[in-house]
Amino acid sequence: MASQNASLAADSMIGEESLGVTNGKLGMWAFLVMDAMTFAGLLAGYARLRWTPGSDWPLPIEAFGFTGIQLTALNTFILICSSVSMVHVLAEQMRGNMERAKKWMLFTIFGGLVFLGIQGFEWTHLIMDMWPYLFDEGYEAAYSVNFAATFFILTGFHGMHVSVGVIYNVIIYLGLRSGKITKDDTSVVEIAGLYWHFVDLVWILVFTFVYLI
Amino acid sequence: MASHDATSDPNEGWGWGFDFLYSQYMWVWLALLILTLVEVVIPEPEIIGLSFQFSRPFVVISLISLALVKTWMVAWYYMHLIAERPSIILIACAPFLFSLFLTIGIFPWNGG
Repeated sequence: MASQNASLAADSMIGEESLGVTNGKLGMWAFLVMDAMTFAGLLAGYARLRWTPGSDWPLPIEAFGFTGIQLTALNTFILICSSVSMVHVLAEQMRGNMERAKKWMLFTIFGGLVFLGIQGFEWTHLIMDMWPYLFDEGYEAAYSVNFAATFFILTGFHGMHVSVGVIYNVIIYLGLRSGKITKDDTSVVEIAGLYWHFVDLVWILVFTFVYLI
Repeated sequence: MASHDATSDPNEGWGWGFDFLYSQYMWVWLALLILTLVEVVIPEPEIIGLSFQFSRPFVVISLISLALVKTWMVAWYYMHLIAERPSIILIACAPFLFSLFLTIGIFPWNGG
């Protein structure tokens, strides 16, 4: 197929190939599959805990309130925008417009940082104001402690991925700025993009299961 | 989606593999944003002034469906599965099968 030939032509600039893709891309996909299964395990455990009868699980909409959900919806919006700006980086790089690629890369990094900032704000509010019983025995739990536990594990594990993604993107940006990554090195940016889009993809699922359902 | 209007430009010449990058991804972006808004409205219709509540099964099923559609869009268009070899698509499907079996397997069907 013509499509495969074109992507192969771009990929063959770095690395050897196996299964018809570069080792770099195959390696990233293998990592992402492993990572996705880790998230699957966490989400499946969440489902079991939540829907066990008598789990005393609150509706997230009621527990977080209007503003809580809308703030996170804004965060989802920011992460999706950051994801599309990563696509712009690759598109501009393939056009040979490295200046624009650098600007989009900065925008992508900025989106990731804003996401982390809002999440940090949210965590601070939840730990300090909403679930004081987590760290202070003087308070009584309002509902199942598993609600807070699974929330922190799922959003925290994802937030860690965003942090790593921001560092990854900063490294790519520095490579673009120093000229080490040229317009021919599309594979490097594409593989970084795979990771960043995966982080976005996982957030779509976590947002749905932890906040909305 | 008006996906290929910009891709027919002969001056671009990147081949088919990445042609979708020139316009389709902005449509995908728009669709993702709209679906996110719909997702937020479904559990709380009061946000847009509706005075009724959707039934719980409808909320759960529609939210999971919307999430899967969005996941598929990100994987298919942004992670380039659209231009990828079938072997990579199969690899990408593996965790979904895994999570399906895992979730069904440990779900407390009989009351935990």
